[in-house]
Amino acid sequence: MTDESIPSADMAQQVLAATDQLTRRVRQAQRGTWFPLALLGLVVVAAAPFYRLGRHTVTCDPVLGARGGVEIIDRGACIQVVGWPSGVYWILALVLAYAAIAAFYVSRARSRGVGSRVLPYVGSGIAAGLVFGVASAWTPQLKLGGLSPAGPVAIGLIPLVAISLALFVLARVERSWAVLAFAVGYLAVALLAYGIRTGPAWGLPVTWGFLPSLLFAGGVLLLGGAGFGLAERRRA
Amino acid sequence: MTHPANGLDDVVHQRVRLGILTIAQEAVRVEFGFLRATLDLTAGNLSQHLTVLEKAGLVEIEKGYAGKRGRTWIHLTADGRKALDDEIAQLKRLIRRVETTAARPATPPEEAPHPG
Repeated sequence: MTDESIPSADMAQQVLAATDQLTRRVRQAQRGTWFPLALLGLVVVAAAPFYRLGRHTVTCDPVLGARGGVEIIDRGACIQVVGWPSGVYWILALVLAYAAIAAFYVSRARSRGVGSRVLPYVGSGIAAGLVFGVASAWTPQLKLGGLSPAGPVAIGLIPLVAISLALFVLARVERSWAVLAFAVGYLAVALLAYGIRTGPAWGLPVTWGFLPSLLFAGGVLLLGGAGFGLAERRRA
Repeated sequence: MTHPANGLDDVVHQRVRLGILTIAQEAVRVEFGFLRATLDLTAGNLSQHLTVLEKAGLVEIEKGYAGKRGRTWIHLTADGRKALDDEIAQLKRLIRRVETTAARPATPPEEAPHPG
């Protein structure tokens, strides 16, 4: 029996190795990570005018500091930050971006002849964007002050966190360790990005104080998109 | 206990058909041309294997158009998914069984301990 079984085991190992190889080929054909990363990178950078739209220099006493609402002090000036322009932007931009991502994967499935399960990523991206976007932009109106981090930092931070959370779903959809590593890294970047404060060296007006962190967070996504795109091209 | 090799399904176990099922499981749906290129088959040969799998209820074949070009898409059915999972499990059992047999000593211990 054993003599008969040994070649069968070899055969079984060969069959399993062949199925693993096929699985890898299909997964490579399904992947298109560069597109969502590049597109979301552009969406992050394009948010800048909407953040600026919601920031106004107001009269206040820099010594006493900001009081009430969302007024903040930056380099001796008081800035009133209104959440809704960036909130409306994020909601529309994320819904449109994820719709474009879905269209990209559908078109890719048609051209390559192999479909992928991208709907969980698109669904979680839109859901996270809507929930966190509404919650962060209208925190005072929704009386969520005690439930979520409030104020202008949250207005900028939360969309980035929503993007990075959806990246974890993308890593699962594409069954890619590289995307998972990127998602972990990007979550850290999203959390650190709003630690970047605009110093005098930047030479920016106080109402543009958010710009370095936004460019940093968007730049990392764009670089990630370029990296995954190059890796995909090399494999093809 | 039956030998794991006896649990292998002849329809699924065939190399090309196992390849078709493996690819179809990874994709939501897979196009005929992708299967043909990936498995390096002629259209006629692939069609024959797909017919066997379709008759066994393991795949569904959907014909349509992309622009003016005719396209054939293949989906794995629930039965197909189960058959593939069972086949992989049987192959793994087979390997484990042979490894266990090979690890067992070929001859019994030389001598039993002497009483007293």
